[in-house]
Amino acid sequence: MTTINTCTSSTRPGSPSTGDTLFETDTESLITYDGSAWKSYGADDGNYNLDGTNVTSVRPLCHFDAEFFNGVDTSGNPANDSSVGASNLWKSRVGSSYLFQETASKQPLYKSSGTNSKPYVLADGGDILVMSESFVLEGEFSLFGIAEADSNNFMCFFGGGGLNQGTYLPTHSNIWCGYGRSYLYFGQGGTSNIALPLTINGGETRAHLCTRDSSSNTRYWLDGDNSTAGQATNTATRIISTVLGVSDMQYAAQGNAYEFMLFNSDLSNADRNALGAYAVAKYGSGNLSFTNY
Amino acid sequence: MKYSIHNTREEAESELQSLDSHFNLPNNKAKSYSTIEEVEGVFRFRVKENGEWKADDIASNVSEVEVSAELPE
Repeated sequence: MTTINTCTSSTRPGSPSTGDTLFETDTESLITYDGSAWKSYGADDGNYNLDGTNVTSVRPLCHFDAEFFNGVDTSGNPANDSSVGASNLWKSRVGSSYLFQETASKQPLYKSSGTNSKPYVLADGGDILVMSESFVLEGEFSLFGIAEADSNNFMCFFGGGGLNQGTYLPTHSNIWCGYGRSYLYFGQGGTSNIALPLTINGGETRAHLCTRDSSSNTRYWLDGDNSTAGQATNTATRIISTVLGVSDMQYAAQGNAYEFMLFNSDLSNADRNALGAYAVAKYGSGNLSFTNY
Repeated sequence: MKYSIHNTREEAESELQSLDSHFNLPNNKAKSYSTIEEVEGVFRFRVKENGEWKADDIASNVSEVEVSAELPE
């Protein structure tokens, strides 16, 4: 039996040789040095270690985190005010998917320091990022996002095919979730299935979780458990293919996006609370509050 | 948001081509500057107001277009 040496994300070897491979205990990933950078390979299933402390029992399909823009560490973070989408691809911390945009006027900007000094991606209402691979949601799912509202106060997290488009996906697959000036929205099939009155003010950083459970009930939660969570029932298969808007540029986001996570399952309360603890620890308890489920 | 607005598609395409040329597109940062859309009888494309693609100060016929940021209940 071969035993691979271990390290953590903060104790990686300082002068590695090409091919060096270790097991990183805090991220539960194998890492290999390719001569210029570390490449990380996580398990296809099992736990997902968010930050070395908080762990979910299931792994997301994708996790786009502005703090780890290259999907691995902070070494690949773009310069402040760089455009995101072509030469700067936003890579998932899980799997191999990435976000891109090849049209200049639709590229959001990378910002180095926002809430609690964490980086984010600024969308100005005409930007959208497309996923390198689409994710098909046939049953349960969970969409998790952290965003800071701007004064215009509109943000779409995940999106799918648009209402009147044919570029990426057929119309019937459309899906999106996000918030407007005074509502949380979850839309699918061309209608807003959830329009939950709830004001979000400019400058507020909030944790959004949209879930569909085994009974096909979809709910939208803000900052953890709350009694006003909206609910809708819809069993249709949905396809996620964009972030910051829907693929035909509807519902384009205006605000600061910190991270997005997509799971192909409903989450246990323990896992939801792990996401909340992770968000509070990362963005600061004074900036983001979370009510455990 | 700001748009460069034109009466004909040809005018819009010509202006968009001039921006592509200005920014030396396509290159490794973008393949094109913007996309033309027909709205209420005019042809327009969006121009950036900040960042490396800022063009609201160099494109022609630029106007602010009010885009609804709120959805119905």
